[in-house]
Amino acid sequence: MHNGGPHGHHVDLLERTSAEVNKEVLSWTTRTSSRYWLLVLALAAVTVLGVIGFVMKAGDGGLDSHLPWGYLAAGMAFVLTTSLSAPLIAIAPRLAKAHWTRPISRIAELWSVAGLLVLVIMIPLLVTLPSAADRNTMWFYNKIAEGWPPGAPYLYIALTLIFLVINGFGLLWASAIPDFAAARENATGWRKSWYTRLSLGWVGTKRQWRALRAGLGVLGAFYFMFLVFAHTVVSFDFAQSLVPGQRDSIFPTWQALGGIQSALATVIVTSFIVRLAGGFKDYINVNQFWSMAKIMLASSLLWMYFWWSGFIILWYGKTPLQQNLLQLMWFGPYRTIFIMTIILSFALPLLFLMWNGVRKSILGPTIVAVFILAGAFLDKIRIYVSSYSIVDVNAHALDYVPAGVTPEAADIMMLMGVVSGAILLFTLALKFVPIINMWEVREGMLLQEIRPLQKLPLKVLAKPE
Amino acid sequence: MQQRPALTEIDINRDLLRPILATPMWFYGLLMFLGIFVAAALGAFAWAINHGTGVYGLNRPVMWGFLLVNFVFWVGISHAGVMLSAILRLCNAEWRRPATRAAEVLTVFALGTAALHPLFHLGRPWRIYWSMPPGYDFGRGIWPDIRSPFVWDPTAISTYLTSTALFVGLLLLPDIAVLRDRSSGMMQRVYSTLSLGWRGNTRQWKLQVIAGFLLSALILPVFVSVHSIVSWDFAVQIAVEGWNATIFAPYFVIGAVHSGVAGVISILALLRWMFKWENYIRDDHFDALARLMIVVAVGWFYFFIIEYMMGFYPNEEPELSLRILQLTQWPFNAAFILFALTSFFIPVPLWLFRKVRRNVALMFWTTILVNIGMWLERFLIIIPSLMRKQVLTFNWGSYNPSPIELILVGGSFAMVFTGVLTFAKFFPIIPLSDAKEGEVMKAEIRVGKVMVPAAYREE
Repeated sequence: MHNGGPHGHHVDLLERTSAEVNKEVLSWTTRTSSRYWLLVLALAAVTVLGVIGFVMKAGDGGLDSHLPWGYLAAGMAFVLTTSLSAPLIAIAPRLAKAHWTRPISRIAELWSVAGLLVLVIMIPLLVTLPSAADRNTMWFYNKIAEGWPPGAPYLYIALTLIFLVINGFGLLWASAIPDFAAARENATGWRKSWYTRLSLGWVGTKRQWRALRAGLGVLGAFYFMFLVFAHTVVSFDFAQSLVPGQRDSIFPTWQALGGIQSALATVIVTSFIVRLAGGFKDYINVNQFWSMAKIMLASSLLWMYFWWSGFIILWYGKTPLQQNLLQLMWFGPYRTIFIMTIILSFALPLLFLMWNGVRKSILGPTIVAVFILAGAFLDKIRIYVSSYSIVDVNAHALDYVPAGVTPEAADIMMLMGVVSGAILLFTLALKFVPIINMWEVREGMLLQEIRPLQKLPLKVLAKPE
Repeated sequence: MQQRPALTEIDINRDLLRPILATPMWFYGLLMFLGIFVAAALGAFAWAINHGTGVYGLNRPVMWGFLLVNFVFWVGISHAGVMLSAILRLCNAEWRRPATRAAEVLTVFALGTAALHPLFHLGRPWRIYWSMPPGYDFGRGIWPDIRSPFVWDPTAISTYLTSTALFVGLLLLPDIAVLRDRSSGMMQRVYSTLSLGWRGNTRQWKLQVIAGFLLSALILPVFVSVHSIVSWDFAVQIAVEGWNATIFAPYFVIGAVHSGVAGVISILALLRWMFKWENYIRDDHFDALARLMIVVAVGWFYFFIIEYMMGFYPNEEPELSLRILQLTQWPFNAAFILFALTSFFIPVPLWLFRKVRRNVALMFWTTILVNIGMWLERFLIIIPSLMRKQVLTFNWGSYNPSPIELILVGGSFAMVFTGVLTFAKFFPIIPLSDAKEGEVMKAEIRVGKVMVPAAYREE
């Protein structure tokens, strides 16, 4: 419904019956066009190219040293900061009972399927990661007792990422149970049997709803904590602790914050595409983009603030170690990438999103989201490639600045493969899991109305306890 | 937000103006009681001016003591004002309405009190003149070092104080106009002047709303900068173990929000008890604030863990000895345990229970605990680090606060509370206009057989 709202704006509410919502969403989920298969084929081809790049690199540089694998680590960190962070955009607003997130919450949660890719990439990175003995790591290996904690850092990195991915799949499944049940009623063949299994006998009793809400709260809270911990672990073990003498306490928190910014960008771009490709213009409208754009502006400002807070301490200290760190990370061989990152992750988002007209549009936030994703990609390259370029990771301090590492053909293929692999997994999943969270949308329809206040038609939002 | 009694404009005016128009006798008694502590603090300060800073417990190498711990604490408390008022206003959170004014007023008085502490600490307050622009000795080519956080500090704090006072004043205009129409004599003349001719016409409301939003947005960078700069007073010093940490700025800011919002909850509980405002400061407001506190506390705890872990991470002897001092030696070990329990481990698990979040007494005491913990946190950051200042320092000393410092610290609490109470005597501490708007925007939606509380949302 479109009504004239205050200040000439429109007040939008979805005008559909529950049956219409189910029909529209499920028909898009089960219908596959030739364009879809063409896209899957193209993505699979690029992913295979990435595998070939990996084989080339392994044959050339080998798995004995960490030095050749900086770009692969950057790729993994990029998937972590975008795809695996995306479910946050469903979790946090759901806990805050925000209505705007309902049509896009499934898009956000569905990105957790890219966790499978992270688990695969993690294996060679763990194999090539230098031992924690005789160097500083967040696990304090050998510091308290010889050989303790056992398996550090490899075991704990693996456990962190495995738990994160399992939690992500659990969250996606739990939130989709009512929709699987709806799909079960309409599906035939293999889909019906799978939807029946996955819906766990859901019939929508009061008890089931109560359990679902409690489960979503718990899984969401755990996912949030695991994700922050995963950002901390990955940024420590694959970057900070490889640089001797680096002691940047804001770095892991900055990376976690970057995850929120990139998660929003990922969900905005995906929502834009799903909206157009799936014909969901009535479901995903300017309200979703406007709400996400506001948080994206705040997260971009915070991203810069965190970076500045770290930078000023190193710059002010001016010890030889701090000057070398400044050169390695920002002003030396990766200066151009750093400047591009600042422009893409902060300056352009600020310049665009400071205007309400841009925020309250569909194209504006999408363009900014593309900038942010590009900025995040470059930032991961700067951080991980520079950290992986240190030869003597056991040194006491960084007493020289290594030269920049230009990507080889295999590196570029691997990076393309990683990004493509994540998109491929998402693309495959969206033809099985309903891409619009049907039950949340239907619930939202019950809790929102348009009523006149004096002479103005305004939206009325209900928030049950 | 289930329990919402219907309130008319008459009810709102009567209830919220009661402390101003019919001030109870106990109010004056309380003010006099607090006045004793304020007078004691002023006397202690006079004593310090007369006898010099030797009356403080400061000694090499600990030259920053309780007064600067208290300075950081009050700057932290002052962060609640903007956090609640500006951010929640920008987010259009309905439950902000009764809490915003108290938060803003707490900011003004906490910040004003904080600004007094460097003067107390100096012991020669007139010398502050030389650190202000009129005192700069440009004639002899002596310029202030603008790279110093000690120049940034007064700039940030004075900007924050000015903008918050402006924020409070601007949002007070409609309420002052109500008071103008209900008072007589000299007070009416004062309210008439302060209300700036407010009549409540459409243009005035429009301007007020726009200015409120603009100030909310503009004040946010100032809010973040203030505690960041306070943190850099410490963090840019490479010679003091434990201070030279890149995380300090956001760690201080989120810690300030943690203690500031806790301070607002304590004040709201007191206001509810003192003025019997159960219909205005409701259980569901405490519930919402407690949920916010859980998020802030967990975020703060993450920063704390990272900051502490980083102390051990480089495995270097000077920093390790500082951490061992903080964790194992009396009285810091006791302070550390108390800090961890009161700032996080007792209140946060309790707030997970709805019954606790909706129990005003428990919310009051748990938020008081948070601020005890956050005071101790600042103490643990400042004092032990200075005791282990440098490897080659010629003496490692301890620090014992003198009675004068204790009186000043105690007096500062009385000053802030006196300020808030005095404000409540002359101006509505719950915004009348916001409360009335909240009533207008209130709605319900029927879902099946249940009426679900709702609100109109202007976009």
